[in-house]
Amino acid sequence: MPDFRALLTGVQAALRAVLEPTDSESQMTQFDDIVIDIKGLSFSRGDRPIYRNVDIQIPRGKITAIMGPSGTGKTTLLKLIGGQLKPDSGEILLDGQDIPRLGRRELFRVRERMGMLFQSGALFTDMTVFENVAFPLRVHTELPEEMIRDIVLMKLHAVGLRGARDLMPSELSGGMARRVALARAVALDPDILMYDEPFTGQDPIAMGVLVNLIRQLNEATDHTSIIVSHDIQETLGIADYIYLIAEGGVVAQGTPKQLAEADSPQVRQFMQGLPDGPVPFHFPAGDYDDDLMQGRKG
Amino acid sequence: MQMLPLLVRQIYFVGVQSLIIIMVSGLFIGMVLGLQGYTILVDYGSEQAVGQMVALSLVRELAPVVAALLFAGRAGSALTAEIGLMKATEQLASLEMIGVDPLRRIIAPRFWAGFISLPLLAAVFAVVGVWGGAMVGIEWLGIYEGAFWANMQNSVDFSEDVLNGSIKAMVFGFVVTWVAVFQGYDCVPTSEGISQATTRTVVYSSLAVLGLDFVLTALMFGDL
Repeated sequence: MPDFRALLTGVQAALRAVLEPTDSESQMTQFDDIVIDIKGLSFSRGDRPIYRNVDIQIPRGKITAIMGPSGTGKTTLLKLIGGQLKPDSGEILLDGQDIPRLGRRELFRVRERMGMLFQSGALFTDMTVFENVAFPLRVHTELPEEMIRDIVLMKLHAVGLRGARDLMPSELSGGMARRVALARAVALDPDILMYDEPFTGQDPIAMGVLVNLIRQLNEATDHTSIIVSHDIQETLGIADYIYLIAEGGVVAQGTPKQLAEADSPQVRQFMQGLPDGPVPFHFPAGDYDDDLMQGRKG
Repeated sequence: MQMLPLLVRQIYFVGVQSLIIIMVSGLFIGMVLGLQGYTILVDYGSEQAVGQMVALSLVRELAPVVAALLFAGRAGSALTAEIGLMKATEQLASLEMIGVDPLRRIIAPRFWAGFISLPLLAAVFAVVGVWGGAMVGIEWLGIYEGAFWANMQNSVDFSEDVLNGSIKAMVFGFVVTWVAVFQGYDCVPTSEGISQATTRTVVYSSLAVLGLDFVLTALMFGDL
């Protein structure tokens, strides 16, 4: 009898090991509820193609990370979703509305549902911290001044900068500016929050603060977050699903665990930060010896 | 979004803050006109006509043209640099993402402020210039005061001179501010791009002002 029991647990464990990864993978690629559905997206800058026939789905209420080496067009993707750039072909459906085909007025209305945290913070330099956060409220709502004040102080309190309300953006450190920008981005409680390289150039403390804020914000409200980043550890820690972008397309996708365990050389090079691999260390150049010798001849 | 407070703020920046340079320049140009006019006209014994000469040169030509050139250098370049820097620091992009059209919020108030300010600045320029010419002519060179002013009043016609001068200033205001905001909005958002755009604003708008001045003068005064 004891042998039979041991056999049974062994079989159970083996079955779980075989079934679970495929099970969770099929769950994550077939999202129950998709808020942004990008189909067949192609986009190029001049002669240089950035995206070639890319499909990306952003699940509702989750944190989705778009990762990849610099210069692969991650920020471009956010601008395409925000309608600031128009794709050469393909659809970007936000709850069924094709963003590139919206008129100017409709586009601005759709953008009221989006918040975006820019890499530089992009605070309005002629306004105080308070006025920066109040700006979207003043523009889009008819709320009385006391209520605007309450909302702004709540948002600033959430990012820990209620005391900095009277400072000008030039008086803030990089990390503080990004937190103020975050408070401004969530001022109208958007459905979709896009973060453009939120961790770049931050000291470890500011980085930790931002990671926590992004996670807490996502848990506290039911908005969808899209994070564009190449900071692996921070992003893996908070993302529910990751798209890895390189060479004009999605080279891998999955949960952080799936990507960390992936064995494709491209994914491994990026996830482990290897200097050479499918993405070469050297910019394309002619033969090294020839190049050096040519200088002599001249 | 209320447009008026934004417009008033921009009129302060591009108009009111240009007053000093416009007034000082107007004063010196009026004084030089008085001095040069006197040295030429006194040979013919008609130095009383200095008032007429100063006023007509200022109202028809120098006030709109020089004010526009100074305005391009003082306010136009500042507008281009400001808008260009807003573009470089993603402020324009973040306005768009907040759902506010930067053309309405940033560009329009600046454009209208320039269009409104330049004709007023040109008028101030003319007034101060006439005063400078009178100071040199009457106080220093001893032209008979009554003749100075009477000649001026008899010769300056409202529709021929003042109105045409104002039309010129309005056209220049339109052109200079248009060039300035366009160059800012269209610039390459790097430090080099902003510097080139600022230079282009001053060069293009100065050339446009001088070229258009000839065309307008030919149309307005060609048959005189």
